[in-house]
Amino acid sequence: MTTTTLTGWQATAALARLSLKRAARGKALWVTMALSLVPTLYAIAFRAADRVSPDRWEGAVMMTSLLLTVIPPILVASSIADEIDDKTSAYLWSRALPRWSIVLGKFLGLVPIAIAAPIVAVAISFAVLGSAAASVSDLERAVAGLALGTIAASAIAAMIATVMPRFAVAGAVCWLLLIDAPVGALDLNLHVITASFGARTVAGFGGEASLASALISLAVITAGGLAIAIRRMDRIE
Amino acid sequence: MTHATEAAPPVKKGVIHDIGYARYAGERRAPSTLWRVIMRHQIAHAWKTWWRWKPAIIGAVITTVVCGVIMYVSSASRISGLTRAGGPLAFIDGTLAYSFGFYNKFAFLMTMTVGAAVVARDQETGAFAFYFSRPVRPRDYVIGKVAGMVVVMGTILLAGPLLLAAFRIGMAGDTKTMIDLLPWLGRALTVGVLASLAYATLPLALSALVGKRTISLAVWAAYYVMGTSLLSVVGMLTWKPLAAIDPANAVVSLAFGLWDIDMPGRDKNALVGVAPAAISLAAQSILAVGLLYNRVSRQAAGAVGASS
Repeated sequence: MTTTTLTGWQATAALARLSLKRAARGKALWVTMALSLVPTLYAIAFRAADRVSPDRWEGAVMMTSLLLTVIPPILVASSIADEIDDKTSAYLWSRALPRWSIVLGKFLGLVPIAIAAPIVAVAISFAVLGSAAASVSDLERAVAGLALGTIAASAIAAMIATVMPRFAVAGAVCWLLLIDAPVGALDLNLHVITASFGARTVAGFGGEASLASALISLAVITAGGLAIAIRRMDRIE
Repeated sequence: MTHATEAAPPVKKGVIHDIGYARYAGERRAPSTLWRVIMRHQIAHAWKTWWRWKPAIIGAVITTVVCGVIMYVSSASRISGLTRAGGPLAFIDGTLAYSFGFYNKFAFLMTMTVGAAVVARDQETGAFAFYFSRPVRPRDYVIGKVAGMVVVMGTILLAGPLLLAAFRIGMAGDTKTMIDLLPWLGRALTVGVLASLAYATLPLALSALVGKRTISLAVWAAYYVMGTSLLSVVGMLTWKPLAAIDPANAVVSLAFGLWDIDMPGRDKNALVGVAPAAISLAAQSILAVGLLYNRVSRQAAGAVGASS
């Protein structure tokens, strides 16, 4: 009898597909879709009041960026934390899978859904507000900012899920909302350690902050968050 | 060399230790006191581990100490951006009302670590079957959980402001000023109690409505962050008191209104009057308790022994 062993990347791809399938069959996907429509009400309210202006576009993007504090914790943090807290990760470790593939597989499987939510929301807001509020290039920058911001926020959520699995969702939401968002809004260099600063700057609302610093900041946060998550996963008994 | 081993006591085979029926010998409580047991359990659960009540308590204590130090050190300095009765406002008189904005953040933290997951956790783990197979009524469960959460929230939203109010009264230069400042205690009590009720009941109701911990936490966070911001925007565009549905805004508005503090400038539009803020907090708390009772009653009807 011959046995085949999955390579690390094959295992990652398999776990990504599994996470995607689980998410598609669970409640979390529907909740994510419903939440992604909430920020569009902002644009609808101003359109209904006939008070459309470029400021409203900024407001709509900022409102949409609040999704980054909620959706990565529901999708990424809960998926990784459930595996650790329910001890089902032990079944995965009993197979010849590298542990990092669990973190990366879930991350790669769920992040596309997490990215889709704010992009759908901001596209609807753009359609509602119209060209009086923003141009297509504004929309492109907003989409890029929200997508990269979601990736960084998901890495933070993955890190928190491995550090405190029992309070993963609460911890990730509180971190992103009470620490990341306020610090990111500060007019201090300290804001480079936050995902919200990078997302806002790439989206075109970072004031005088440079695009390069925002991109580097987002890359470092994503890599750092995933590195800590993988290291923690390696050490879990 | 060999040692004689001690003979082991003979094992009795086939003995059944049947204690039969044993009458309950513990304390018997009146049904009207059962909610206290649930309340105590709720408080004890919140106190367990470092990640539930304690971070919020530490934050509230730090806020109280920092505000007290500011009141003492910068008592005569003026707060820029805030006015009272059209005139300048000193730190000694404005810090307490302003501090509610910070207490709100720690109250939200508590809702995320405890409040929004409480009932959903009981539903997920099947605890209702055990609760309602005993002589616990839905109202005992609801009163116990709400009372427990109000006590927990009170340590954040009531204790700190009351201490600051007492500190301000203590800093008065003469007896007349001290007597004039006594209403501060009543104001701090009013804002603290209404805020504690709202922050305790709203996440509990949502938790009962959703029934799954992860989703419940996410929906509560989304409502608190996005939903209330949207209501503020809609309120600004249509009817301003609508913004009072945001619990954080209602608490700050109530505090600013009771201390007669105004915020001329960009955030002025966000604040609502005292009456809409107080009515909103009270009405939302009552609605939330009603919703919680409704959901728990339905669960009780389907629990073990409910049909007998």
